[in-house]
Amino acid sequence: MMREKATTLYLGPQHPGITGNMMIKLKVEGDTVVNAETNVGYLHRGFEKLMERRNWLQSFTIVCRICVPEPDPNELNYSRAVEEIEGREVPERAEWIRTLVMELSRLASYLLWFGGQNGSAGLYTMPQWTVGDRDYILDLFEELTGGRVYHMYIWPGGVRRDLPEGFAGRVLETMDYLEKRLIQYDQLMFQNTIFQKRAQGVGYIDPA
Amino acid sequence: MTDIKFEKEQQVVDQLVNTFQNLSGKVKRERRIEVSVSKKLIPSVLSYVKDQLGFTHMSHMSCVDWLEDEHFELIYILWSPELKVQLLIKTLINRENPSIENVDMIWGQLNTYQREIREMFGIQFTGMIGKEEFILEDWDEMPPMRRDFDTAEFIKEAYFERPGRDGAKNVRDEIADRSGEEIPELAKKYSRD
Repeated sequence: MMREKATTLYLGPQHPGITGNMMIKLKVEGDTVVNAETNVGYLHRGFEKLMERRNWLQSFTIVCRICVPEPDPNELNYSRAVEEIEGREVPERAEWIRTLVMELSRLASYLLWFGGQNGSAGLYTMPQWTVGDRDYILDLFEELTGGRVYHMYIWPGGVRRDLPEGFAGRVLETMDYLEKRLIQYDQLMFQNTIFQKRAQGVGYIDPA
Repeated sequence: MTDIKFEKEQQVVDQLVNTFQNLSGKVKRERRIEVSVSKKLIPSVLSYVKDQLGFTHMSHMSCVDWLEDEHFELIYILWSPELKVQLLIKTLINRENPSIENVDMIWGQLNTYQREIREMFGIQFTGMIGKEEFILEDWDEMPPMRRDFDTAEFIKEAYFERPGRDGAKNVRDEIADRSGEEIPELAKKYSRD
């Protein structure tokens, strides 16, 4: 039986399945990936070098730009590191607001990732839905911080300003809406036989 | 607050201090341990913590340039999934002819981190196999992440100003000229010049 020749495919820096710029050079034999080499230079923007010429406070605007789908954890890590060096305490209300912002950001990032995974598998309905639903969370962020994707809201010492009036009610409305949508996502993706056949047992990575 | 003893963290520190000489360690806070060791002991310490102490996950490896003290500091960040403790192993390398032994046979992902540090800081990892070029293409200046690399000089030599963009160098002055307003005193000290 003739063995198929290996072809080289470039899962290039722009691809609907990849939320971020990374290139993977794949060697494919038929339907199986035999070898994969990464080329990660496209997203290196030299932030550490930029921060050398800025104050502690000016740098917090750079930090959120490390990750596009989920910028808030970077802001939080930077702020906590500076607070630990200074020995500064954060007020309790600021801690709770930070938790709220982080959870919203996590939801937005998962929705985007969800869509991206399905996009690279070929089910393009999912990205249309999730990117649309993610917009509702971005609306909340716009009301709170002024920016949809890059918030620059968490800085060393707390958060920049308090919640607007009625914000909690609007968050709960959005969450109720998203909860209903989760059932539809589940049906389309996880209970989809084609996806299960393609994805189960493929590409298992050992934790070691 | 200082009376709380973090038992399992302290246990790890004690085991390391008793096994290796010239190793100092302390518990920074809950779930975070810091250990300093000389660079010759790094391969043995890393194998020991992976096999005997359960720190099986290598999260990150990074490098800090202490220009004034004339050394580099390499930091290995490890995580133990059972104890749920993060361990930082720090070591110092001389700034003149910096080199350290290669450890990517212990964890495969260290190859990528070591190649990045070799390209950006110029530290040689003896015995490492990997292409010279990692991110930079056709680069023949000094390693760029070092603190004595002058970015302003590099920009002047490598790029040219687009004609008609002279006012873009100092935007605040340009806007002040055009609108006829003065820059307030408290803002003047934040200029970059």
